[in-house]
Amino acid sequence: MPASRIDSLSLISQHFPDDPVVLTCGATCREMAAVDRRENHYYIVDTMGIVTPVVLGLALGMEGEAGRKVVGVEGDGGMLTNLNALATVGFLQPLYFLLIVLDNESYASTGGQYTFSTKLDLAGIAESCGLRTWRASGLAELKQAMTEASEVQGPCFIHMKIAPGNARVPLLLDDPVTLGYRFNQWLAGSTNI
Amino acid sequence: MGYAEDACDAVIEGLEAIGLDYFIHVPDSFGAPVISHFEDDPGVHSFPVAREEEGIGIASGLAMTGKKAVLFYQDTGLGNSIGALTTYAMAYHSPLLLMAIRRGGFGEFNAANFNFSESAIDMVETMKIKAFVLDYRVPLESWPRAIEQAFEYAYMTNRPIVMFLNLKE
Repeated sequence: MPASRIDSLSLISQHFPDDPVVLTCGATCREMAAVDRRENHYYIVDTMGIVTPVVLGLALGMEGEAGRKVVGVEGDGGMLTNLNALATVGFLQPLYFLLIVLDNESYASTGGQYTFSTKLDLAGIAESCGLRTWRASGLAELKQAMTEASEVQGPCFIHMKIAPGNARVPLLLDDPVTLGYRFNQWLAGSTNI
Repeated sequence: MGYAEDACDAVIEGLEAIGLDYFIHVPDSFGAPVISHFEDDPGVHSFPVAREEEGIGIASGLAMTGKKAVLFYQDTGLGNSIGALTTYAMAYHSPLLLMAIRRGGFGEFNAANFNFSESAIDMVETMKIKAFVLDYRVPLESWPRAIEQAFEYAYMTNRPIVMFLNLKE
């Protein structure tokens, strides 16, 4: 049985306690906020597909911050919404970019409708865009992939197959302005930008 | 020089006054001289994006790290980015200046894109996004300072602002 989304998110949060972590909308935001909410998390509660460009902008702006990673957590549906964004990442080759796609082969936040990842190889797409790619199918493999990606300069992509469904957690009802303000305060205080 | 060349020069002068770190663009024939200028400027990171919506997220990320970025694309590209402008940039109070080159009105040759362009300003204003327009009704000598002020205004009021440009003869 593949790992759940919420267990995968908990592991990601623990692995990157001091780096920016940008979270996609829907159940991903809700579950991360419920399982391990931290100041370095940037919760984007709508705008499916915007995570990759936001992470790219942050990574470009933090190129002077040696050793950091800017981490995006996206779903298979969100990745497919803005597939072109991976091409831009591949073209620009940002040093500290890492996108982790938690792939449950469905739009789980909206009722479980299937996505193209039931037939397409998302890691292969990322690889062909010029990203260094890892494939993970369990928490141990995810941990190993994150450890290895942390040591790599240049854009990285981890494809993690997860179980379908959502954890029963509260809605994330914070105003986006406060979500952005908290993250920006953390960013300003923990980097030299 | 003709009006189109002078208008592009005025845009370049305004953008240079901002002290840009990043110039993010999607191709446009009328704005091509501006794109060429910043692509050739070693002091500015200039790059295209595959689709306009991406630019909203990238510029937002850059702004959070203190980098100055503008977006430069056709006003028809607002159709590809209005969702990100409203549900992300406006919702998160992300400051950014989007330069939208008009693809409708006098001088437009394309028989399809005016259908979007002629309604673009109304659409943006309906979505409660602040818009300014620079065209033949505004003296070219006023454009550089207006562009600089629009950028400052976006940052001081913490929101995206669209500046429409008519660069046609």
